[in-house]
Amino acid sequence: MSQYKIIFTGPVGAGKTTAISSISDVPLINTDAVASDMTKQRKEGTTVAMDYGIMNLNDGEKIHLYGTPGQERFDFMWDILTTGGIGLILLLDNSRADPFLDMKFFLNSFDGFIAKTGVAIGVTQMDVSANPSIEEYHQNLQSLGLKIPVFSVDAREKNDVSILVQALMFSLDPGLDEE
Amino acid sequence: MKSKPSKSLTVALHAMDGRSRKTMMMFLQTTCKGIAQVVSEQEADIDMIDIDLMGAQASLEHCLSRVPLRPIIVLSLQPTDIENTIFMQKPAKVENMIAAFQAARLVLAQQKKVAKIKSHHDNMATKAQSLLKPDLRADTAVAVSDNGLKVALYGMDEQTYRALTNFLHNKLQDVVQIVTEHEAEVDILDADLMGAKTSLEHCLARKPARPIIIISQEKLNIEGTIYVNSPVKVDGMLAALQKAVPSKFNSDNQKTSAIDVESETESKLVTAPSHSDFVFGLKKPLPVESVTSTAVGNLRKQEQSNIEKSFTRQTEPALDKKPKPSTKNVAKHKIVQKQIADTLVAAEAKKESLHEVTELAAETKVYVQSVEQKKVAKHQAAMQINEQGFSGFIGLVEGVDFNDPKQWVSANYNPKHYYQGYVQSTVKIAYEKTIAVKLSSAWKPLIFLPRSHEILLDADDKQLRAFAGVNVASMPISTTKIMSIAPVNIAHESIATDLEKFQDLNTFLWKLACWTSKGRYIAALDLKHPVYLKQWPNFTRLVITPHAMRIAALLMTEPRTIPDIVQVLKIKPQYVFIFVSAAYTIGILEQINSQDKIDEMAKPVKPVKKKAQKKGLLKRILNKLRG
Repeated sequence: MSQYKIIFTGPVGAGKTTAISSISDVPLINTDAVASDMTKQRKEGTTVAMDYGIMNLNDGEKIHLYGTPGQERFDFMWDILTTGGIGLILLLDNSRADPFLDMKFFLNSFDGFIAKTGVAIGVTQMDVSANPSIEEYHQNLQSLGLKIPVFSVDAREKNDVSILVQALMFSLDPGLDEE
Repeated sequence: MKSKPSKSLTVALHAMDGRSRKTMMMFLQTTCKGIAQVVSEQEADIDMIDIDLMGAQASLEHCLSRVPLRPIIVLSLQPTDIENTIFMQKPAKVENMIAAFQAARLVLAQQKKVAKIKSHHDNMATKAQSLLKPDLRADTAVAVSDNGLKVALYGMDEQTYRALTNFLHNKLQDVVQIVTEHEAEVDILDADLMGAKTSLEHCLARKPARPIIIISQEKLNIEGTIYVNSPVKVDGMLAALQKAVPSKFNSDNQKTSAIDVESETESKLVTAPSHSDFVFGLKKPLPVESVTSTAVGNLRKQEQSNIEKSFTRQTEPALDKKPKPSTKNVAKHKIVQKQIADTLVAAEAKKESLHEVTELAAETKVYVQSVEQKKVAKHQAAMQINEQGFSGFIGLVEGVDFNDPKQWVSANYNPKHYYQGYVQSTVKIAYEKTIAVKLSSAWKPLIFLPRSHEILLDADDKQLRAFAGVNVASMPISTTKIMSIAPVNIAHESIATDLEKFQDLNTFLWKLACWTSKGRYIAALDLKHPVYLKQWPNFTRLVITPHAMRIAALLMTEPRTIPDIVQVLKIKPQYVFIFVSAAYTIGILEQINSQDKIDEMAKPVKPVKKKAQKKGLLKRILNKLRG
């Protein structure tokens, strides 16, 4: 059976872990999880360094949801993580000092993957910091020649995360049917 | 013949949180397996720091002050040129990481070679000196023990470290031995050098605490430290060492070594060092003194004033005359200082910026109770309507058969005849005058706040939906006359303080357009001309009508006429009509009316050929998400 992945990325605190938890059918496995008994026999601490969840489809297929570590210094992992990915969900924290800089950084870092697949952007913490607005994100993206779905997202809300992922699916294939 | 495999490098990670550390360890254990491994700071060959992080500054200073200096790999988004470091641009790639490790390996090999030569020279010098001055050690050194006091040296560049090491080896060979930080009983640091503050803080924070001797040209009063004047004299250092660990010095030694700090102070103040004496640092005799002040901050000030001086020590040390500053090193050092200062300034600017934004956000809702400010009404806005629920939610328009394309021409509406038109006029006026405006009508008053782009309406969606569908133009004159738009002073309005009554403008206008449209399109749109989306609608805060996402995705790729959208997506026209009406109302949909623009925008779009399997997969994911 094929391994399909949706990758969640973004800076620290943008809500990647929460977003994956919102739509995962299994409890999230994250970096802070303690090592399992088997792992402990080999070493004391686990070195899992990403968030991981699963979405079970009706036909038994599994969609693996991976969250990249937020710190930029770990972007060497991204190439490995994105292999076999369906698309990218980029979450941006609007309360950070320069969300546009974050956006450009991640779009640039994943440009190869995005070119092959697609991306949807979720802006979190808009209730904490309303600026920049979603319109300003679009203006910024248009200056980069990009037309990407950008939504306000509360990562705790399943509906928000679901809509964001749906938009990613439609941007991958606008001809996708709805049932 | 096979070459001998090189030993794995040991790396110490600095300023990383738990997750970052684990990730880096995983990377080194997998992708860089056999090349490098993470160990504790004491055991490491090299240091690795991400200098983009705020906390990295102290770590960098600490690593740069390490004696002997070891290779430091710095990671950054921006190219940097920090002396004595190996730069690696982020995003870090595997090949770059390996190259950085190779560079570190080269540095280590070079250091090893230099140390070997130095050791040889030291041995030769010691032998020569002992031959020339057989009584020297007996005069100056105090026999503390067979092994001597174990001291660790901090905050020194390589030249300074070498000079002090020579001094201690030659003059106090039986009194002290230089060991690693881990094994030491006493810490010695040079306060006049760059990074001294960090080293001092590091030493002061040590638990259990151990004696700290600080060397400086200027008198320092720092609690918990023993001061030694620079240039260092044998007696001065001995006095400090005795003060540091009195138990190591027996009573006989105390008598013969004249460890009376005060008396020595007076006697040495006027003593010019002779050429035969080994002096460390610059010649400026000051007393040996233990001090009690808590002014650690003074050290930073002094650190700054001594920047130039400290870097002169990177040149070959002159033992009896003040070395000339190296312009090149001073310049490089200033660059490092500027980088650190820039980081701090940027951080402050970010803080201020964030503060301003937060203040502004708070200001817009000052009339709302503080508890209410924390509520978020917006989540209620996003709802997905399926085909089955469409008519029930949106309502029906009588007299139009949407299945007959010929009737589409008349399946439009003019917002000006409805409440929607009045609301749009209110919004327009408020934006033009940048003031809060109130729309009064026979129904509920509506207030628009242009600064926060919010509508305040004390009515639920059910009431709004009912009123939106009413053709106001067809109502009696008295009803339309009662509609009035006027500026409003929020402070004087007895409006609801429930945040649930505040709605985002676009969220409100979108659903108002949907309920006004009821499946018709806005009369301003021409069915013959293509329409396009300027941007994706913010669907998480909007009513999602059937196929809205498909329509949006299609219109984001290229302009299409409304009938074309219906045909391509094979959906009911009402779904397209309602979408274009709502998108047009909030200003994200435009129509192309000139032929030139049509030609310009209608660039051939390569059809995206998805594999049937992938298409099926995306559909299954979609179905899963929609429950």
